[in-house]
Amino acid sequence: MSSATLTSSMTRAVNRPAGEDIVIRALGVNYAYGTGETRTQVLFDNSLEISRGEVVIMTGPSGSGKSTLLTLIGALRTMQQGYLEVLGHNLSRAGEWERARLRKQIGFIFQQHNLFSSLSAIENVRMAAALAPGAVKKMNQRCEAILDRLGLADRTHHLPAELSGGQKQRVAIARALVNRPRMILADEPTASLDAESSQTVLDLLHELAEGPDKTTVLLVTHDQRVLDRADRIVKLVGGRIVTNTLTKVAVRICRALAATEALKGLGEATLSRLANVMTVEPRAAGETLTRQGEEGDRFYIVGTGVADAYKDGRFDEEKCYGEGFGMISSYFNRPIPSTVVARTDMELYVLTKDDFLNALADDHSFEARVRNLLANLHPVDLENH
Amino acid sequence: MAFGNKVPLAWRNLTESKPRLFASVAGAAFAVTLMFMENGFRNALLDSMVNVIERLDGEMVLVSPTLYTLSVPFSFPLQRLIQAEGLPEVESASPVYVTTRTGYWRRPDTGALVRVCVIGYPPEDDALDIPELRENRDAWSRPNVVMADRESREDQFGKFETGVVSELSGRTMEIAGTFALGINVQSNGNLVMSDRNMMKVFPELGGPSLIDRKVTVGVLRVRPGTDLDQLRVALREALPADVRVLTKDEFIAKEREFWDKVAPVGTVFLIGVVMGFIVGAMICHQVLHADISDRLAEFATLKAMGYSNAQLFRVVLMQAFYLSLMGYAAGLLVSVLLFDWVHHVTSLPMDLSRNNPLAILALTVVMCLGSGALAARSLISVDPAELFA
Repeated sequence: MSSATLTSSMTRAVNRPAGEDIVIRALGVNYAYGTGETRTQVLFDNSLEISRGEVVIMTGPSGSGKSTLLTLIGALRTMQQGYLEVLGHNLSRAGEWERARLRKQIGFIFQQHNLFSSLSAIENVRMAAALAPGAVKKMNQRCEAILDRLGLADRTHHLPAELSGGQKQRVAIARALVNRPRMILADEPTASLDAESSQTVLDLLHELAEGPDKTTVLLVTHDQRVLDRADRIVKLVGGRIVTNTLTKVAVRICRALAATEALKGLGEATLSRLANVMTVEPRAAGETLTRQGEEGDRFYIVGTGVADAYKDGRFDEEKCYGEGFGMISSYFNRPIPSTVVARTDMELYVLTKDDFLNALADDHSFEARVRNLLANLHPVDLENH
Repeated sequence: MAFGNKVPLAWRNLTESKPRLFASVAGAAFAVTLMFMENGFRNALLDSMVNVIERLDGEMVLVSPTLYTLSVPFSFPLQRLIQAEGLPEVESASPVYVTTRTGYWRRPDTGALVRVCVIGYPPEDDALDIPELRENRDAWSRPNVVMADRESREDQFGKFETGVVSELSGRTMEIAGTFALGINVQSNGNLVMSDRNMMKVFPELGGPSLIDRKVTVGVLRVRPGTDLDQLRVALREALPADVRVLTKDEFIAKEREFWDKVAPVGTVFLIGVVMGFIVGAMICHQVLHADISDRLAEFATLKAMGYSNAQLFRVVLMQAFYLSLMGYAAGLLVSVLLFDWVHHVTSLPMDLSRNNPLAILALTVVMCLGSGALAARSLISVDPAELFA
């Protein structure tokens, strides 16, 4: 299966990777434990694309399969069914040797620190540093620097037994980060840390993601402080990804939807639902996107590029990033209000009528308000709104 | 790449807990001591059984074809020795008479009769290469005297000292002097006397005439430059089938082989060595397996980080290697003390330097590495994915 096929299958706007440099591609990933009558499937047809530098939070109830998915991405398990490519390694057919080679590019942070009690803090970190080729002196400098960064400069030669729980966890994090890994997989990394230490660790993870290395970070966590700083939130329930949201795109869409006159009054939950189902369409410069007076069945939000809106043949306004246009005429009982022409090549987030109606199904107050308006106002008045 | 790039993980894991280290080293040392002692007993036994033969001052020997060990002496007529001396390559020939079953020494202080090994030969022949016997030749050439082995068991015979007078198989004898030879598992003491005294005390060794005397071992000294193989062929052609021709080395090898494999006392002790090896392997396996089990999550973490099974194996094997060296050193020390004590108590020739210390070291290393490799198998099944569970 080619990467191109995978990318084209990801048409929902919030599902798409933040950048073009994709480091994780999963398609149709299934996984089961046991065989025969004891076989229990824990992952069902999961697809995911994550680009370099994203900070991804994986959430979900216990037993939802998030740890299994994480271990598959971390090359800690052998793939059974589906396609999985991580950092350029096709894990669908990778042997143990190739998986071990991949793991050297990944920093693992576990709930338990798993430090060798016989080694000092710096020696535990050096066990990881030794995996990266280089001079011993530089290796030691790297180890000292990362321990210093995590506030353990005065604890480098202490044994784990002489460190507090939080300090041990920070040593484990230093061990995971010392080789500047291309990807970090972490399981509740801040669970045993105090607020200040958690902040230090989160700052460091974001530094790595935003820095020149653009490290990709995948965290399994329920820590609200982490959720607030995630680029993407992936939620699994019953072995399926039910939410895969690139947060900044979702926020951008929600803001654009909220600013759209016809959708005013939509609740945050409805806006989020709408954002989650919007797809992406590329359009070429010069292409007419909507025509004034025609029946429409879509809302558009500008993702990239610029368009010009015309009313009654005259230039009305410029449509830029985050701005919406279009109309679902059958619902609002009015035609498309303006003609919009792409000035540049564009990427549009599209909300179809069916997705709109499905998303509205739970927002009874909004529907009641719209119906009330429709019942009491003249169509011309509605158009003015 | 060196594992851990100079992080001495194996050493640290082994030495982290001092009580545990002590127990581990003690376990390995116990096995080493067991192997040293069993092998020491085996070598002491075999060495002691060839003690007399090694001191025969000649290059070739004549023995009875039915002789399978010197401890059960069979004889051949003295005439064969005279015939052998007739060959130009033979410089001299000496008869050695041995009794192991019929000689009894009366202990002077208790009057008890104790069986003793008696060796007789013409004093002027110096058939045994023992300095005291050579130096005191005149003294023990006299009638009714013996030379006594001072390494004989004192608790059996009383103290063998010059001037002590007692009975040997019913005849009064005086100890004319002492020498050092050493006992074996068949004999707790040794006496040496002249052939003339021997014939008086043990007339059954004589015959109708001088040439019919019943010799146990004929010692042949050959002229310098003589080819022993050719001489053996010549002797076999010259002598009838009632005598066997052996080089001294063949005689020693034959005697050792009998006690080692036929008796088979040597094999019993060899089994002891093997048992020591097995016990040691089990102890080492338990020690290393327990250590690995305690650190399974840590090893799984290393595996998750990208360390291969082979690299993890190397850590355990290094740990096993260090354990083997420490266990060997401790075992060697204990064995030196025990060898000295056993020699003091039993008078057996317990000589550590002749006990293949390097072979025991190799066995110890193999024992620890083997058990380490077995213990390290659990690392293969370590699933780092479980760390995310």
